[in-house]
Amino acid sequence: MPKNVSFEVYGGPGVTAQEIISLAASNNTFQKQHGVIKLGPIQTGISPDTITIIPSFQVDENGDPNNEPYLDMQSCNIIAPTIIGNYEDNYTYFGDNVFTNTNYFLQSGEIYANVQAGLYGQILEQDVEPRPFIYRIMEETHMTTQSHIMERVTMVTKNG
Amino acid sequence: MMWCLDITTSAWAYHLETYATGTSLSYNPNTSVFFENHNVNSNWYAGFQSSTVQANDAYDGGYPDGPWANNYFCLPNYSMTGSLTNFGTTIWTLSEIPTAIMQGP
Repeated sequence: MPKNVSFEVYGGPGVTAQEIISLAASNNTFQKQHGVIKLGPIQTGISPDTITIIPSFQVDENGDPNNEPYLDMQSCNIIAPTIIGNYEDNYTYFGDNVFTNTNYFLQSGEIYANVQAGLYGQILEQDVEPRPFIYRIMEETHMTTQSHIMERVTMVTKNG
Repeated sequence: MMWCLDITTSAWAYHLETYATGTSLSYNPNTSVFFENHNVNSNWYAGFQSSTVQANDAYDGGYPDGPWANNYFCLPNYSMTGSLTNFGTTIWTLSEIPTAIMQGP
């Protein structure tokens, strides 16, 4: 576990304590070797039911991603409170992880942080690595400031 | 590809990643829902408008899309209530989430 980090996690289906412990050890090794992974830019304005993707499984474009019968979709609604002050000296992050059967890792979620005179940072992120990597430290350069505040996020994860 | 919906603006944001492959998600610790805190000051949570965060309506990525089938808590001594199994809701109490641990370089 990297320094200056605490976290809580719900493990996925079938998870055991030993799996969590052994994976954490492997992640530490991975991070020492490869460091933090930088992300690409965040795209906005396109809903998941209107964008074209070329996955290796059936695509259903019927609208609400929570109700789409993807073979390999994980989704979860997360509801985080609006941050209204300048109390944080760093950031908090609420997200989900998925790991594909070809050993790719993806992550999405939301960050809360005071940046630039009390504005708020939020992020949608994805990390793709061909090795287990349960979570990583985000870099400040990935934060964006916006005048509105994201209070509830529907996270949908697909590999495609 | 991953999406987030901002319910304040009803706008979607997404990342497209062309390198990811696979036909299913794995049932292992990498499939999880989590909250992490990098703050070290004792009142980091004071600026939030409510005292909790929550997760609900979790699907496990299986076929057909099934409910979350298992709960495992890391740091189980903190106040996480509820359950994600069977489309349940779990709640994190912000004030009881530990602050980051200061360590040397």
